[in-house]
Amino acid sequence: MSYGIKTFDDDGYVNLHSDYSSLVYIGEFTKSSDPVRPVYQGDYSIAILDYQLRNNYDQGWLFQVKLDFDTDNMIPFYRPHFDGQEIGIVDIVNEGRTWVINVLFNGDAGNFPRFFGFAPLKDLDSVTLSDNGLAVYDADENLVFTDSKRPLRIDDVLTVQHPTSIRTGARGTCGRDGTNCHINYTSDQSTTYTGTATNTNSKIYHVVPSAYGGLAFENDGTFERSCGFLNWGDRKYAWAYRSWSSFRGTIKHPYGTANHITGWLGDFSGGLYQQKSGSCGYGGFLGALLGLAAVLFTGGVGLALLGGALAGFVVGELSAPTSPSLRAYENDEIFDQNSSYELLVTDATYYDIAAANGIDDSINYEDLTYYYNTNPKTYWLNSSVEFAAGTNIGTTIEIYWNGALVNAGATVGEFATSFTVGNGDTYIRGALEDTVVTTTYNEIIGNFLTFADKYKIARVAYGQEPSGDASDDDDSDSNVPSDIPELYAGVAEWKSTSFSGSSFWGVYTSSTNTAGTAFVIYNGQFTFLDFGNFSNGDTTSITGSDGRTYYRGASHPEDGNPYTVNGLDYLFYGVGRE
Amino acid sequence: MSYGLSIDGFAFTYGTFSFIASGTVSVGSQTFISKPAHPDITDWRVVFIPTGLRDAGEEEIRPTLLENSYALYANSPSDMSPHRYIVLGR
Repeated sequence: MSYGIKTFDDDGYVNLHSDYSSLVYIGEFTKSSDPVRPVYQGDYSIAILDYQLRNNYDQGWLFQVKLDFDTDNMIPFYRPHFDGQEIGIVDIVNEGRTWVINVLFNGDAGNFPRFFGFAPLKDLDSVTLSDNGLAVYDADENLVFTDSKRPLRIDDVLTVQHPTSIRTGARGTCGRDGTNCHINYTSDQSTTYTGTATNTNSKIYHVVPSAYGGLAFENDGTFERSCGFLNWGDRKYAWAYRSWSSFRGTIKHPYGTANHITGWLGDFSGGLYQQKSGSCGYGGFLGALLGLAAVLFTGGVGLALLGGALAGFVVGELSAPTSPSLRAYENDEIFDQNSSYELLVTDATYYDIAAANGIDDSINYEDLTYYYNTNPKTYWLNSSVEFAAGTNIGTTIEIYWNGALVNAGATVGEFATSFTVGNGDTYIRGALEDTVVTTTYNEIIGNFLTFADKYKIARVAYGQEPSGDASDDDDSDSNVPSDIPELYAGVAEWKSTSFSGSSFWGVYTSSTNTAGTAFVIYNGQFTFLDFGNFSNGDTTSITGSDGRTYYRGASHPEDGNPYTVNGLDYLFYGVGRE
Repeated sequence: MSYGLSIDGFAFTYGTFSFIASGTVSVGSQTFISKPAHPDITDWRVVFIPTGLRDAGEEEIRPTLLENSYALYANSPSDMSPHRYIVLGR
């Protein structure tokens, strides 16, 4: 440059240069399709239950986000929904000013990650400058830096690659039992890259993996049975089995480490079984039965048999297709594995998006309060149906909260311990409370048993807000700003003199203290050692000794109205912290 | 802070990448960015952003990067799905 400005960071690299635009945060993507888990359901397909999708086929969820912003230079970052979540960007589609991302992730359907867009500052139509500060323009009079739009801060940058195979361990086999048999395709291969920045729940990542591939298995055979007069004849049978799991390259970022682990997660699976028989003959064989299941599809042809599983992946008025391409596999294959690509790490709190729901999830899940009620139903129900001889027929999960079936229309794994619904609320299975066994007679299959295991349940609202009692949905008297998680937990434990998991705002009065005194316990700690910070029991917000502002939340009369002990009358409220 | 840039009390001393250049990766041609044309930049990164679906059935792959002391080269294999390249530098 002939003139202008350039500055350098602590490591000696240019971090501001008037010839080059800075990259800035431009907005958050919104979910534009619900998560789906596509499974082949065409001719000869075999049923694959939800827990088999997870345990045998290693299959995650596909969903889609979109953002309208006029730029040719979008760099998306994602924030995992939970510690160690596997995530892979499958596609990015751009048409006009609309950007669409297809994403694969593991966990429950509601565990979708969040996406944030970054683009060159000079692509923004308008920028509000600070009243005082710094604005830098390039030679073409484009705004390339301003302190009012903080430039992308790079906490770490690595070049990563995916492992050369998906699974090397034994997978098992399937034969004539193929209608109820599943190969173990779960990936056991990963590669760890160690950076310099520690992963936390506020770190966000940009990476577009390249690798994809699949694992497959096929088997076939023949057998015969006696038939005809005095069983002197024989009937020939031929069978064939085929299944696969399609994978995409994903990455996870375990909290508390600087590791980034590349691996594999399934995006599409299927299984087929076919069996045919000849007529009852006396020798010879119907050779035409052999190889019958070899008539299968390859590549994208299988999509025609998906039956609209991806129908929701077409965004509004776009003319370009946005449904991810799915592939069925006949053999083990890997594509585009040997490409290396950049992983950028930054921190969401740096761009004034920290207050958004879900960034500050400092709650200890072990300290949640669990509930159980039969009317209205508030429990996690695991109904297992078995033949009298013990063979399992099937299992269904129903999750009830305050009388509502919250997993209606969604499948929950048999062994799942938590479930996140589409709005982001998470329900967590607690201890077993009750089991009811019923015996039912069916004319065809005889007696079968239903084991109804009912578990306690806790709810964590989106944004990691442990709720109050299931019946306490009245938050009208809360003083906590809507964008701050409101906590209320551990009151029962506090009453029994243990408050390691407590988070609430308390007020107590007595005959000699009618004005009342308030106190706060947050994540198991008395927050204010100087109770004089509170003027009286009507105080609704206060700045604590840690410099943070605490707000009095919704009242919880179910825990005492008031609760009286040692001559003091206690009222309990939720609490929020800014 | 002992040195560097402070703006309204905010110390701007952290590492960041600036936007150097971008373009479409065209199938069958090699795109290159000359390093000597940007003498202040010492750390280069290129991210490839797909702009359309990758057809797994057609075994489409992503572009690749080659780098030497003179230039960055975005290579486009014949079976590549549509991508843009964004060159970042610091």
